[in-house]
Amino acid sequence: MNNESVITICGEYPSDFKKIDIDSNPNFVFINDPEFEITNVYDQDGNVASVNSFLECEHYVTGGWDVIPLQRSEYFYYDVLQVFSLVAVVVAILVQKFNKRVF
Amino acid sequence: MNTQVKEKVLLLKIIILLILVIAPWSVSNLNDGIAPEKITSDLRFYEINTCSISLIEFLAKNINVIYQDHYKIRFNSYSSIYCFGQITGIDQINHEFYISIGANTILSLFIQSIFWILLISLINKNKELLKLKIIDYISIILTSLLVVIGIYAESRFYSKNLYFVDLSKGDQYINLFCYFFFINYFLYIVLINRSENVKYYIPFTFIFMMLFNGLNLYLPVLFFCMYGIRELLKKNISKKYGYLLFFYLAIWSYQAIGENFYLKPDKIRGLTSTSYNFSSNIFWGVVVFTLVIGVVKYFQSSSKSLELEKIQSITLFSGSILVIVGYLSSAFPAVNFFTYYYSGLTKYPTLNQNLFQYNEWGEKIAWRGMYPSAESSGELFGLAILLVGLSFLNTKKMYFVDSINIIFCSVGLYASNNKTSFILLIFCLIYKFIKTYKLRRELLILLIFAFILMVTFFVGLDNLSLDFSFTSNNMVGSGYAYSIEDNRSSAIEYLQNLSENGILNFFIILISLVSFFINRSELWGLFFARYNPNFAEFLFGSGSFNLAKHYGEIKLLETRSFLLPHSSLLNILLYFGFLILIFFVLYFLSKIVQTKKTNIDLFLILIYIFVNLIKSDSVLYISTLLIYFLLFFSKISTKRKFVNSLE
Repeated sequence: MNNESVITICGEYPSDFKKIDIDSNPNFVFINDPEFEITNVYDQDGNVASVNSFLECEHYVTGGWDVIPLQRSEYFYYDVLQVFSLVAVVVAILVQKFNKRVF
Repeated sequence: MNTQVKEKVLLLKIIILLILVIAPWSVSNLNDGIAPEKITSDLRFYEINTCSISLIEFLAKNINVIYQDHYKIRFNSYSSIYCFGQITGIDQINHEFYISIGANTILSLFIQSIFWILLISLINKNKELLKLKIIDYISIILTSLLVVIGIYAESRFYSKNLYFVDLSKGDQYINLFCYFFFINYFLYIVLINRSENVKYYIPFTFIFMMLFNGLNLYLPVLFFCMYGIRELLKKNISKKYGYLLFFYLAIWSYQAIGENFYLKPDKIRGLTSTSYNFSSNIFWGVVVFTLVIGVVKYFQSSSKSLELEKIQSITLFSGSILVIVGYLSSAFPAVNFFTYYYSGLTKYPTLNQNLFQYNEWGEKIAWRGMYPSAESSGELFGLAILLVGLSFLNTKKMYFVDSINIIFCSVGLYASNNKTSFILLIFCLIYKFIKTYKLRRELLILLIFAFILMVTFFVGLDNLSLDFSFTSNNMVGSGYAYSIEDNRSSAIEYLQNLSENGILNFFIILISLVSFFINRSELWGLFFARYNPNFAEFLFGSGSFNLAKHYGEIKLLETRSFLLPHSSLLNILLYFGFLILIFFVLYFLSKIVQTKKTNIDLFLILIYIFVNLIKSDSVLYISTLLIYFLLFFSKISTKRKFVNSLE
């Protein structure tokens, strides 16, 4: 996961953000940020985690967690339908050039 | 195209139609190891395995669901495309099972529009085919844009129906625009080249209302808006109508600034705004303006006149189908489900299987069949019999099929309990009979006496003997009784305190008496109890096809259900104001008077329509709206006479 995904899911990086090496500290506890809007992120198996601070969110997202997978697939279907719509109209216009009575 | 190719194309279309009916409900992952189980009160299996079993799979395992009426199959529009056609949940309420099927609104938009456009394409084309010009493409684009603006304007309604479509983001509207561009293009190209024949199939809109699942939009509205915009771009419409539209839009939108009433559209979805706000008032104003222009111009575009003899058979046939499918839908949950979806209905067909049911007071219970309104379906049945009756009196001939269909339509008319349509039908036929044959004086008197006796029977002899002060004040009194003190509408306050001697009071008493005898006292009283206009709203209306403010502004005591005004004239008063109402009534009446001299058949048909408009919500349903527009604005011809009804 790149910075772009972090910004999309967690929001802009705070100006005072400092990257902490959490993996090397097994007792690390994330501190809630009351100003951060609680966000749900999901892993490949559909497990959900509610993140309460930008640091926590950034940590999960860089670790491969993502927004709801269903939402992504839904957007994919919508995009497919969009492409289908445009292609169908273009093809229909071309077909009509050859055969006016086709429709 | 030669005959062989035509037959192949027809076969292909039928195959595609069948695929569109079966495939969406059959798609399922058969390798996931999840097989449907027999449905019982233990519903854990279906609660755990959502979006895993297709409807067809489910029905194959539970065949009893197809025909046992305690199962109700219902759509879940707010669901994922992934779940389309699959069981998204089953609930048991008392002894009834509600089976929820995923039917994503966007995918439904494609399935339903392709299905209906293919159906329309079965109608014969015109001999002369039009080639699309730039102006046609602009109309298609502008209409697609208009629909997207409508979705924005009514985002409160659409946010509950469009799954994962974030209506606060602009890019989502680009997707929506592309979908509607696709639908509009194919719809336009199919309908533009069938104008000579499509008008005869308008009665079929009672069977195929073509309302999109999850949307507040009818498919025919899309086409007529495109056609209306095309006529505007071609400058076939006088500029003064454009100025009038801007004037009304300015007033409606100004009145709506800062307001945000919401209406759950229920059975009038498709021809009502769900929101009363600045942008929805503009959207619906433009939609209705272009729709009216489109409908009128499209019906007039045909060079041939409308043959009553031809449309009569199709109207009768539509009536028969309405009764048959209505009954099947009430008896079989699966038919009920598919009828709702593929007919594009505003409401699920009735579950009442008894067409001849009476309540405990011996009153007939109206049966609506598959159509959302019993009253409007009654109008179709009455109209169908009227058309065939007029034709029979003209030609003295009747097709055997028509005589069979008359039986179905008569049953439908009786079941719908639309007494007004029945009385009008008898009146029109007697009138035509008297005009056709030179009757002896005694027979004439006998006929008139029998008619008066029949009307008295329907009104109820005991009603005629009630105190005048009660009948003449019943409408206003009912409205006042429903009002809550300190929160009464301006209309009901005004009517209640009206001077007893004024001419206006006499007029109100007259309306009140009519409303009492046609069983509209309570409904019209409720309308006035809610009608709360300021002076500008009284003159110019509160917004085109907008009931949200009407139902949201004044709180009343609880009514037994969502009661509509039951008068298209009251709807017009509310939407467009007193000035347009007066213009409409005078225009309609003047046309009735004109046609009396030129075509007695059309004269009677117009009387039938006008009286029905007074006491029903016909303008709120696409079917009645289109068929009345067709009969009002088309060039009509009968075997005997030809008349351009616009002259």
